[in-house]
Amino acid sequence: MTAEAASTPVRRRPADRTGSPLEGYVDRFAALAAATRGAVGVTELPAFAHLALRADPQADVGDILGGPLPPPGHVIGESPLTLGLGPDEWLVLAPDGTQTPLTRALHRVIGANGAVVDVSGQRTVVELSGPWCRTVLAKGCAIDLHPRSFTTDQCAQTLIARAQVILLARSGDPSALWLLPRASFARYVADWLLDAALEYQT
Amino acid sequence: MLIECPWCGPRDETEFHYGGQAHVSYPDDPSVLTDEQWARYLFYRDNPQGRFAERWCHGSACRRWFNAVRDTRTHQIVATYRTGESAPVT
Ligand SMILES: [Zn+2]
Repeated sequence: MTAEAASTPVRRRPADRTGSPLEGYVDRFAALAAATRGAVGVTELPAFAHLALRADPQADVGDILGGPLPPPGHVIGESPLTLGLGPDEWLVLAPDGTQTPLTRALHRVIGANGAVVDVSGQRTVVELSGPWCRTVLAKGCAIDLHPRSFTTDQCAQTLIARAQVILLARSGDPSALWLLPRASFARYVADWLLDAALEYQT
Repeated sequence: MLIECPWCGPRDETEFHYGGQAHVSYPDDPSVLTDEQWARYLFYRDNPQGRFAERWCHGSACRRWFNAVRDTRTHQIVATYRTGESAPVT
């Protein structure tokens, strides 16, 4: 490989979702929202930077992530947004394109006692909205999705219709959820959601 | 059935898989064992009727191994606890 080729930047997904795992579903998601009169909304969000972080839970990342590393099942920040996946494992979501500076900044803090890996292609982010979206999701999910139980700034890794996903309850819309399926399972999960939402169409 | 993951809380049993008897420690110096002692470490496990300390892995979520005390007669999970901790019940 020539030096020139080695320095060519990796081609990233543009903000219009072209090339994203669910680019072929835009019309079907729009039709669902129309047919359910907004009771169930499904949207694939534009690409984020996804970083897998393994570190000491006491690592001093406050200046970078906006607070101490959250325990499993909890979320801090807005942008970057940090999800606690395990006792020493986090997923950081940040604006696409910030992968390199954010990785460098985290590396400086955690030193040799951890790892930061760019996993931006691993999952896509699907936003579920509308008053019935949790009811639809509950058809294929064993955890208690009632807003009393699964609420703002909580996350969970679990199975939706047997596919592994990360679920995230965001501040703002109390019923809305983010669903992060793996890229290769995204179309399966989208097909399942469209089917599960059929009964809410009028 | 729900299993209480020490990191994630109660989750459906389909998210977990089983890892055999817990607290089987690796021999201090395997090279001094006879073949019979080594085979006993590798293959011999308790098989009680009643409470049994087992390893489980939360494979669909946090991917952490942990321990559970399960009653083999009723399949009831009496307690779960983190690796490195001793069983809270016997
Ligand atoms: Zn777990």
